[in-house]
Amino acid sequence: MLKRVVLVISVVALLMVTTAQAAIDFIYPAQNSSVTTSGHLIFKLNQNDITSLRITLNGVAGESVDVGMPEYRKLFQDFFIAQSLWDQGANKVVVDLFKGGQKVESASLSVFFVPEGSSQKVPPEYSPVVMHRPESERLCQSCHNMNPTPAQMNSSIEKENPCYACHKKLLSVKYVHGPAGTYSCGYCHASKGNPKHSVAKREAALCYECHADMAVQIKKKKYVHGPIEAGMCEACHEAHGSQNEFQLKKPINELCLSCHGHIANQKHVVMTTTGEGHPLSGRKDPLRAGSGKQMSCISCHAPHGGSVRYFFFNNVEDRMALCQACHNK
Amino acid sequence: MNCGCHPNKADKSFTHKPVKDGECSSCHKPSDQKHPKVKKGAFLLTDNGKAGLCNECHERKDIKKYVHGPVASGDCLDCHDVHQGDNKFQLKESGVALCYMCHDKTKLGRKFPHPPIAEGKCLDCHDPHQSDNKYILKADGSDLCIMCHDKSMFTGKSIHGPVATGECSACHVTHGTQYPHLLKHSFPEDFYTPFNKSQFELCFKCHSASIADDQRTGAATGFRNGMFNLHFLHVNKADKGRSCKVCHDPHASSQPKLISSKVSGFGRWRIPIRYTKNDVGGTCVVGCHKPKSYNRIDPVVNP
Repeated sequence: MLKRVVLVISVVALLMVTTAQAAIDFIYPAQNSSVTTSGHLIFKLNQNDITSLRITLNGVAGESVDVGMPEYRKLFQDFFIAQSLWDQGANKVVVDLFKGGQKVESASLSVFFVPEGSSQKVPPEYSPVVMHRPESERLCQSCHNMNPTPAQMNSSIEKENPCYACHKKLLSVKYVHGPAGTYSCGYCHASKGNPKHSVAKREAALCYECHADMAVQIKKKKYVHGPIEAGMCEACHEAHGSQNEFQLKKPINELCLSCHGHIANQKHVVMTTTGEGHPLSGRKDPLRAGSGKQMSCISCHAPHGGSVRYFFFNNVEDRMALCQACHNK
Repeated sequence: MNCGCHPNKADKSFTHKPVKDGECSSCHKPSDQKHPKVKKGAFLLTDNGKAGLCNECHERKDIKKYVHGPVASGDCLDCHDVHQGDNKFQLKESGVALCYMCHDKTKLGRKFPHPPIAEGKCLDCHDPHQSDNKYILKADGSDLCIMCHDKSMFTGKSIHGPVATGECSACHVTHGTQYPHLLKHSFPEDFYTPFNKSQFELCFKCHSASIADDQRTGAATGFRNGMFNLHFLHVNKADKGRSCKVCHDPHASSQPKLISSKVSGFGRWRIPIRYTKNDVGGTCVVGCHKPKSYNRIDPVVNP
């Protein structure tokens, strides 16, 4: 009798699994995952006769997208790939599916977005997103090479490097790190790893493998900027690239003030006759005349360190000598 | 072998075959005089024991264009012991010590010696007897070098002039020099180097230094954007000037103008370069900077 009950239960369970197959498989980001950037939104439609869909993000509905046309199916099969623009914090995506104008089904996805560097905590019900998992790679591999060789991962020819197709957006910034710009992905990212393609080393341990001259330079400095002393190159620099010079995470002064915030609230350097402090931005940098560069924190302070306190750019002990670099004696 | 009263001449590791076989008379041919009453005169050595005697069995080794001195003068026994020895071919010394019996070792002492010299392997390059090549070398020009060095290094879409004509010696001194890589003149080892003409003596012996000296030029180099010399831009810097080899392969490359397809020397990363040339300039897609183009006639403003 007991056996029979177990059998019945398992048959019912089996039926439930088959009938309860979701209308949509969310591939990226996965259900209840946390993300640090806005990237792709990828899902797979499990019903072939869906003609259109509509995405609603946090209550704001998008336009209807026709996914039933043969041209669409030829290009994307039953996949839907869009660009996400997450709101900070919890995001709820609702996808409504239509057959010939008739809504047939809805599916929803929860994603938590905290941009990198933010102090906001991710609630425990969300786990960090990982794209390159066997179950999602299996879905992608009909169109994408999900197991590139190390040589393919370093091919500087777009067509030969499978990373490029999905990750090219990393390069649509003004200042791009050389290896990223030439698709030398494999120099930092492992072809295997756990999670797959993860970076085995980070920060200075990785950076100094190429920037060996920087390692030597920094060793020579008597005073080293804290994050560099700690080997935290990525505290200031974005590994792939950014909109800011030197691939900095923020424009120079904004970046410096994100730690040294008190400087913004005081008259820095000196109080001038006008009652203002020394200009820290918005003026041409007289020491870099002709370069078009504006004054910033690094006009006076070398960002990595120096042989004098405060890392004065010209390594002068005497503060007046710093002033005299621009102000004639 | 013991020939009556004479000490055994076949107890060392290497023995001349007739000695081992007891055929003393193949060389020491009896005259009609009675031995031991007559000492030396009882036996005759063809050609007084010089090459003429050896050539009775051995092929002549003095017929090619360049012949080793002792071979030419028939003094085989300068190097070989006629009976026996502790070295192969009954040589009087082993390895390079044999050569240094005559050749001055101190003349070959170099800061950066060619590895065969350091290892005493003179015969990797030289034939000990004769050759049709100068210095009794085993092959001519670059053919000698490619006996050990990978030939593919010297082939490509663009090939450096001396490499194409097989004149490795235009830049390298085979025995070694005070500079690394057997280079004839100074050339920087580092990726970045403060620009100083004397460091690039190797290149500037043939190429005009104005290639890196003149900030503006209409002729010194084709690598210019309008009149602005882009060699100057890359190389002529007080601190992080680049060495020529950052972009150029001194032997050959798969791209025009000897531009390497990958650059070594920047840590672990081999920086890819894709260079395309056109009639008035070119474009460089590289890990060092954004893709940039130049045009000699109509200067490009790069983003």
